[in-house]
Amino acid sequence: MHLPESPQLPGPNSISRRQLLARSGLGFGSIALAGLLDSENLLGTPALDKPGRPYMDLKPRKGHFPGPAKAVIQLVQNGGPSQMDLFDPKPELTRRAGQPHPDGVEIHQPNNLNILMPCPYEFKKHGQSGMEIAEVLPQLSGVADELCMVRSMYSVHNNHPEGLNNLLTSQIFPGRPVMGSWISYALGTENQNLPAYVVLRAPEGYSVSGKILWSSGWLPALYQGVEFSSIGTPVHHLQQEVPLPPGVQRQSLDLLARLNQRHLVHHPETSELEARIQNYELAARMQLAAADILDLSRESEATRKMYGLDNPLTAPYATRCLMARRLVESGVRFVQVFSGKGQPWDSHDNLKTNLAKICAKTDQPTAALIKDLKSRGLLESTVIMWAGEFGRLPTTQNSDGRDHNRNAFTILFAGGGFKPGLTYGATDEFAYKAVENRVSCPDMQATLYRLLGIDHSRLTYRHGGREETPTNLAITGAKVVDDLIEHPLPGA
Amino acid sequence: MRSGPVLQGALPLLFCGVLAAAPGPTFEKDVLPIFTAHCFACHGGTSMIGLDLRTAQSVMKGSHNGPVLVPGDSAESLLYQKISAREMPPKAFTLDLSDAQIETIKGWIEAGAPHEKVQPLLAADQVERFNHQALPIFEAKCLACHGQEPPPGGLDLRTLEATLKGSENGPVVVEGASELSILIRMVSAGSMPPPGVGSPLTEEEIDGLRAWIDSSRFGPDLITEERETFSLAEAPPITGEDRNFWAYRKPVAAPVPRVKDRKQVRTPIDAFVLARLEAKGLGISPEESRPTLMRRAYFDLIGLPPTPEEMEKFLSDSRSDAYERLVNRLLESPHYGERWGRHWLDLMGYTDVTGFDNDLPITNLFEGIWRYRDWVVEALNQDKPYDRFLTEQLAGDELVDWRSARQYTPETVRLLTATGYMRSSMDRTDSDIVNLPGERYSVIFDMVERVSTGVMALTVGCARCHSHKFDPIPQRDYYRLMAVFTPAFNPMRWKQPKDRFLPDVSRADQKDIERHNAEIDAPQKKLKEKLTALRKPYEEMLLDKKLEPISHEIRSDVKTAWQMPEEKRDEIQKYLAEKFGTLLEVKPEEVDQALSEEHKAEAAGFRKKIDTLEGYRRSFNRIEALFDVGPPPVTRLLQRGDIESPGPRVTPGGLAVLSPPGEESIRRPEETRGETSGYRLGLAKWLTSRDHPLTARVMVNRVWHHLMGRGIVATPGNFGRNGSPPTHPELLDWLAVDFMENGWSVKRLIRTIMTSSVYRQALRQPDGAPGETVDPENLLLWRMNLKRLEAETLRDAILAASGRLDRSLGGTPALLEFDAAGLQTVGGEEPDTRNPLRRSLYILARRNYPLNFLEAFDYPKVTVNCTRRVNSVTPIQSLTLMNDPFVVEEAGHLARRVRDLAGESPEDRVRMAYLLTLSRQPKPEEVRIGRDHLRKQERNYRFANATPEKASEAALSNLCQTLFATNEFLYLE
Repeated sequence: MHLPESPQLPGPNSISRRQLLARSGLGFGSIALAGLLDSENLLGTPALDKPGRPYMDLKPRKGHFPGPAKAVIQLVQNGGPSQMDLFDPKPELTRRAGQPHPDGVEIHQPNNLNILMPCPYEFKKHGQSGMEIAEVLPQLSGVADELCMVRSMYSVHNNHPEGLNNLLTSQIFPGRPVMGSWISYALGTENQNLPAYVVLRAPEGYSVSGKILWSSGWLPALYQGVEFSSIGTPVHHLQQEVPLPPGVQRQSLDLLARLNQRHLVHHPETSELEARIQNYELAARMQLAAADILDLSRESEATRKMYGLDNPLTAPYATRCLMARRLVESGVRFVQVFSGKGQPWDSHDNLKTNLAKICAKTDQPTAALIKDLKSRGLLESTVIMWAGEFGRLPTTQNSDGRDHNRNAFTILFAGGGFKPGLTYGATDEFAYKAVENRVSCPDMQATLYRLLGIDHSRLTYRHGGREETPTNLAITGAKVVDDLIEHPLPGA
Repeated sequence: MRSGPVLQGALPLLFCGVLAAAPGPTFEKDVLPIFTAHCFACHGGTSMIGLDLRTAQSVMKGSHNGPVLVPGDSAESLLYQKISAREMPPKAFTLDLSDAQIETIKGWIEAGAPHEKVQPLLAADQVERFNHQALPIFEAKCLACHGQEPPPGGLDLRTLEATLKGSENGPVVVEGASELSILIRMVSAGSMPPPGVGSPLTEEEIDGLRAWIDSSRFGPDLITEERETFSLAEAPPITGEDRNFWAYRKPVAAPVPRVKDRKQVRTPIDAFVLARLEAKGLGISPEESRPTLMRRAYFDLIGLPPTPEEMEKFLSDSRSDAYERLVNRLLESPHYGERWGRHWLDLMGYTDVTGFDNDLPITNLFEGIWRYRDWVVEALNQDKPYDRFLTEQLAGDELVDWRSARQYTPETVRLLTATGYMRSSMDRTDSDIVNLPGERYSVIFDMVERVSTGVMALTVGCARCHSHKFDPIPQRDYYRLMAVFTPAFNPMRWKQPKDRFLPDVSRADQKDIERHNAEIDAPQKKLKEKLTALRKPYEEMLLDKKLEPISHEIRSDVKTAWQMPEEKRDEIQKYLAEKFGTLLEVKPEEVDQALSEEHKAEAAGFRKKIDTLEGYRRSFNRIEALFDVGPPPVTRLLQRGDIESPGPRVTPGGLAVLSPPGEESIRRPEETRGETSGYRLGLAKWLTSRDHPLTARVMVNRVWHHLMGRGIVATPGNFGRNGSPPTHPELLDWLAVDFMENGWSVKRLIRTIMTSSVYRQALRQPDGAPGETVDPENLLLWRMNLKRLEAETLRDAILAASGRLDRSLGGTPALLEFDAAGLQTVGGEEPDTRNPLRRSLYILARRNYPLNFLEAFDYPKVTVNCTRRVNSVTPIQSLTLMNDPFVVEEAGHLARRVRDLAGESPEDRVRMAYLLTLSRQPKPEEVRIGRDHLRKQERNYRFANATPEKASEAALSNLCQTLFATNEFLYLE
């Protein structure tokens, strides 16, 4: 990890926020004032353009231009959902079933035969848009007109960890910040009593790559995703293991505040020390706010049923989806939901059964989340991103499964300004490779950033002598896919 | 159009084609089906080091490393060598060829590798698509230049074949991938046509070219020639102006300046700093109070607070040089090496695990690498000169002929251990399915980055794909540096990490040990068999007894299922075994119990013999070392950093801009020992030369950074044009020269800085200090900087205060465990690696899953290395200090320690708690506040039904924990 370079000796016109504070001599309250000034864009520079120092707080900040989206719910479908069996029907696969793929396909694991395998399910057209979705996703089919489907996604690596890194960080190796960290860094968050970036993983275990998937990389740890457990205590160390008697914690915090205030006297480095003092109060508020988010009993019976909380099969994922809505509703900027531990979409064998199983667990909660946000008027300001790390091969593995395929996969968006009802891009006759309107993971990210009002090429953080951008622009050449955006954005 | 290797390759095949009429094997009929089924996964539509097996022509062409086929001679054909040795297809894919298939391929090669028809180089439909989709756009916008003879940059866009051949810098179009195609990047960035030369392409035209590339399938047969000369872009000349940048000039010590405030000048450092300050009307602040100065020195040098006895000793030492004596004492402490070793481990990216470290539950231990960590600590404690310190880490294996040594001396083992420095790259190739060229190269790229950012503070990584945009680092120089490491990290003769180690004994000794152990194996095995045979009937008997309750209809089926090896059970047997497993399991203790007295005695006799024999066994330890694995391979520049686009060959060398003109090449130095290239030793010599502009500067700046809270160059990992310029360039150079002239002694350097007035000055300032307005950022050093304790130091400080810190040195790491919520704590299986009270340096260093407590306080997650710690302020840190059981528990221990030392008086307890946590006496006001706190918390606990004793204990514990959470505890003044 590196720190961004410190600014050089100040010139006559450069004045950092900290200097402003140091010179104003206002202390405590002035930080809030500066936050206000920043968010009102009154300090002279657009909120996101090359701050004199990197942001070290989570106060809400404006983007480069107004965007329709304010929050993101990222539904990570780890494992590699099969594009030709769910979203991208290929009659040619059925017609040439059993024949070899003419060029061979790039395999990753053992027991692959270069033999084309047809899709085991039926496809139908749905909604006004006529979007094609397989029969194993009936609920999602019901909200087809809200979806924006990208069939021409491609990745750069055939292994899960690299694929997931690429999907979330624009680089296959771990180390770069994930999307949620960049977005929290850029925009801060609305609710100061909750983290900007919350992670909801399966309580039974981590997905492959675990915490790397919400790592802030070389961005400050402040922007890292915070795990909220969907059972038990929501956050690590939210309370002491042995509960304290009433009044004890308050008294400790009072003493701490008093000692820290004494320590502050004559200290030149006030802003960092003050931020720490504030954080203890924030932590205390978080204890209440986080517990609140968990309390799903406040939801109506109808809502609980719509998500599938009443069905043991769907309940775990439904719990996370419903928590995600509650978090976004409370002003959390970025929520990351995992479909399950390990890699539930990874159907190397027995694809027909395995795929149907994971679909049955996740289909209803996903559709309910979209409907719920829509009915609350939150869908237009919330991006839902449904994505795995890559697709699958058109050929057989272990006789009835499919191996990984980086050359083509499908992802879904809903809300937040993505064009509803759109099916975008195309793959070749076997869905092996994206050929028309190809979209890379960095392109996809650039587009999502734009809807949040962030210009991915202008959001920078200095690291290792380079101005790093969220899409690793210099390496990936990421570009916004305008076709996916519903209305042209003013100012973009 | 010029004839390329394409046609040369095709011509002999043309003649072979004639043979096709005769009966006999042909490529299409006999070989292609085998390749299609078994080889196309890597050598079909996608490239794998250039070898494409889709047509007879492309097989003839070979790979990036040369031809793979000699028609008529299978023994000489690499392709046949690989398949007959069953190295290909790689085992991991289970695509094994049958003997008959191998024979078929052999027969085909022996018959002259005939094929049925000469395929056109490019399919007609591809030419057609080019003519319709691309050519009109080129004609409109590009051919005015790229249709002339000679075309600029060698890029001719008039035909498909010429376009695919690309420019002098390599291909411009990548089949099926517009985003990777330079042609698209150039036109969409507006850099082609060059501004002012022609009109830029329209969006429609660019989309048209994209569509043409994305759905293209050009076929396997077009390649570019491998060049042997560098293009201007790959090797731009280094200008005089480039060399004149401050960081690329050799450091020269300027005369120590004269200053007004002479009494502040204890060392030349003070003069350099004062000169700048006085020019602005400022001065150095007065000396810090003695307790604070002592705490500063303790944490900076050994990373631990002083004990009450040590405080007493120093504060009562009235000699004028008491402070200097303190510094010397601390430099001699073995904990000095631990503290400063951790700084170095950041730079080299130390981890105790191998691979990516993806999954929390899976720890892939990097067995034995801790010996390198201990080597670093020991080397620093011995004050090994920095030039030697570097040399041993880069080339310890080249300083001694260990290959032919009859016996290793302790020094041999140490030198080999030092090369662990080069083993911290993220290397995943232990996993067979990713042991592929791309993964191997990424290990080497990491290596180059570690040396360049850590030792030279240059970000050469940019030059992997193109010459550096800001610093004068040509792409050629990146690959020269890489060529230093390819004899050891040889991508063609790759060693997986599990095999890349050396025993800590010589080959001869190793053979002796193996022979010795083999003689133990045989009798031991026999004894074990006897023991098993003796127990077998009892096991059967016990099992039958356990089977009794099972209904007799299925009893024998259950027994068969249970006794069947797991992997051989069918579905029904799996079910039965799972259902009855817990019921049927016969535990070894049960068998022991059941043995007859006679057999018990006999079994005990066998066991005793087995154990005795085991005691004779000899073993050797693993050194995670780096060493050449054969003669140096050809290393080529990789165009755009792509291993599939090799360019001209490179020879090993340092960076030209840091070398006198013409002296950048690295050759085997005379002092190289044994069968090794000597390249790494050559690199070490180049780096540690007295004329090297960066090595000494970077190290002294790093030491300054740790001691003063900010480097003279504020970016210790980047001295290039994008880094910060030095605030005190003359001081930096003086320190660098002084460092080299005095034997590169790090301890001496530290002593020089720490005894200066600059280091000893106070941090806190009265209101209205003039420095606040003139230099609010304190760049000129008119006061000390505030330093936050690093994650490890914070944890160690808590354990030191509670009195429970285990101060033992070195050894295997303390392992981590995790709970369902993903929280990691120190613990683990092995009894000797369980100690949760060891210094944080010895806690298992995971790449991505560090101990949560350390992670919360910015312990680095290691990708390559960490040249500077981040210092974040998060509410998670607050929650950790408020509620982490580790903190709560240690606060409890501290409270007991306070009670034992201070007795019953609340005031004394407050004083003792301050002394043990903050290394100072509280002010009367603070005693009062602390006493009130104890009283209030006692009341809270009493109100919740605690006994008076419990309430008093809890209140004190609470006070202690609150002191751990203060800013004063976390920051060093």
